[in-house]
Amino acid sequence: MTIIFNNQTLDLPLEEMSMGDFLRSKQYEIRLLIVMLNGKYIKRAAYETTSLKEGDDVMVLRLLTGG
Amino acid sequence: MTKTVKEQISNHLSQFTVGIAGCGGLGSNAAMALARAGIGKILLADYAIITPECLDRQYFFTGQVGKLKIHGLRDNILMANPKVNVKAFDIKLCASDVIELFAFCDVVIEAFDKAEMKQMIIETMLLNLPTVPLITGVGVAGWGKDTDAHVRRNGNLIICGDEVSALSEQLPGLAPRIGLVAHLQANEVLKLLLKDFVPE
Repeated sequence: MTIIFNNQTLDLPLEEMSMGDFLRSKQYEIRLLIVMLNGKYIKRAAYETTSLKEGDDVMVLRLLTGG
Repeated sequence: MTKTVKEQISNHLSQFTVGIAGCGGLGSNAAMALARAGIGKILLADYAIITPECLDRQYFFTGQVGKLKIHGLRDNILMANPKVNVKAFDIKLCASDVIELFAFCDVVIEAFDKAEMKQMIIETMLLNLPTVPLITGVGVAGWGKDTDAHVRRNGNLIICGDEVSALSEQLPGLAPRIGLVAHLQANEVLKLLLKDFVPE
């Protein structure tokens, strides 16, 4: 399937994938992320039960110390 | 007499309220820039005290060491622009405070130091105050890499910084780069608040 990931097109080898699997495939540390799917905030507890599908718009922000 | 465009901009900005969550390197520099531009009301929230270590990157001065940051910053804002209505809150923000304090802001700047606090305010605002734009600063440490700092938007969440450079012993926070991201955040505030502005 093809999704939009952080404003860029991304081809994924699978037709279905959980948000949790996607984040792990991108080497994200799950603990400190902001994740949005089609403009909607996804809570950490819902990563494993949220499925990605063709055309989804995924935004991931990794939070870093400093400010 | 017709006002200059600069005066008209300042007049336009005077009707808006901006919240600043955290008054360290990002918050103090962004707040000063916004005050100079003419923002009408600025809400400051922080609980920390100005120490000598703050002075290498935060908008404070030697004579202010020992004061609360919110009070030091309030004084500096008023020295730059006495017309600003500054409200200072001595508080370590939690989710319910964020909702109460920032519900009536036109835009909020996230300027915390700790990643966990950044997560708390972003999550809280996306879920509870989705119509209030939030401008976050992520990836500010080090020096150089000026072209790596960027702005990216997802609805009402606007991200400024390089999203890579976390603060560490080897990559400390330094005034120019933190100032760069703080001013990117302030510039995004103006972009939002001046979107309907048409000079006479």
